[in-house]
Amino acid sequence: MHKVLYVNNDGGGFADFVEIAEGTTVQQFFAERVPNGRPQDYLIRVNRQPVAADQVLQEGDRVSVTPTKIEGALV
Amino acid sequence: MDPINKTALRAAVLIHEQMASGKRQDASLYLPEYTWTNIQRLRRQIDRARRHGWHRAASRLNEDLATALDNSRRELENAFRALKSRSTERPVSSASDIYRDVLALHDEFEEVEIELDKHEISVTTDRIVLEDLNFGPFQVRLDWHCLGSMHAYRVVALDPHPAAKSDDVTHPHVQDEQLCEGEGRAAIRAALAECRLHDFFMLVSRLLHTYGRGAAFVELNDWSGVNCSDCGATMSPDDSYCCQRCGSELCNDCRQSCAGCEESHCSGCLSQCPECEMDFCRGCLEACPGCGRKICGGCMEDGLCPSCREEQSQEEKEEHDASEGARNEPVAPRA
Repeated sequence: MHKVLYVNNDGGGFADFVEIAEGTTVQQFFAERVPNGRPQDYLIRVNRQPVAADQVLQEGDRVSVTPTKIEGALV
Repeated sequence: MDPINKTALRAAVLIHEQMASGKRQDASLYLPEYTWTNIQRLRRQIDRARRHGWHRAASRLNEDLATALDNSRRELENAFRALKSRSTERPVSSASDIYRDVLALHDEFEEVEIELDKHEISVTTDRIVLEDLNFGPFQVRLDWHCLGSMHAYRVVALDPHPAAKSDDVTHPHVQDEQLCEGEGRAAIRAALAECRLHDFFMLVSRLLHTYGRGAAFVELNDWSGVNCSDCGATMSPDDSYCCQRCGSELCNDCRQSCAGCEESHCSGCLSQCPECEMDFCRGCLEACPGCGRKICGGCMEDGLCPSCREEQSQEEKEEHDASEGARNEPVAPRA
């Protein structure tokens, strides 16, 4: 198992260390963590850089997921 | 090491010192209060639209309500997960994390500026265009001495295209250089509390690239004033009138009053009475039970349109004449 830092900027915006299976790709990680989301609706960064969907995550990676559309408001 | 990296490193160390000085605050647990407020507002708007018979508006609002309910569900799930994660190890940005954040900003934004003397780090977005309206680029300026406060950052329009009704509104969600964070509030607060600068600037940038219809300081439809739904002319919102039936905005020239109730209506919501040729709203026209034509109450005679009434009178007269004729016929003498 690997441990990566997952920064979920959707909704609550929490950052947490999570365990993943060795060989997990960015695409698999996203599908697991954001089951109802479409990748094109998010900015996905690994170690703050855009990456290919099939990139395999490594121990200690920092994965952030940020929605491309976030609505502002009056309140 | 080039000068920008030295400045970035110095800034990272200063920001980390600021965080370590005890001023860091944990992000409070985010509950979907904004979304819930939005849900309640939409429900009121739907009720109002239905009361007024604005069926298209009600249908559109129903879709917005479905989206808001889905957002609320998602945010509650996130709140649950955030609460559960508090019992485990929490990541804290180190000076090197902050340094890497600052360097990575150069890959995301057109310009990154660090002003050590003003304890500010700022990024410049690309040109913001929302539904074909250009708002120009914005500079997001973060004061790291204010990381724990509500106003840690400002959003400055570099090429302002303010709303017609207010120079202070430079973006649908920016007034007086303050961004109303809406859906992004919890994530922005968490990013600031944990000093995740890269995430913070990304979130603000995405908010600036998104228009939240129905929840803006000034809606995009009203940005350059309000468009008259009949002639398309632009006018100040203060000079506009509202069609009492469909809710569309009207200029003074296109506003028409119903000859019955005298309320303002657009041309599409008024019809001419075929008898008096005056304009009436649908509520002030009645269908003649005889022929089905819709005419105004003033032209109704005994519950019928004049033509049907005349026809009825003619029939009554003929019946009367017939019965009179029968009465006047000579009676044959009894055998």
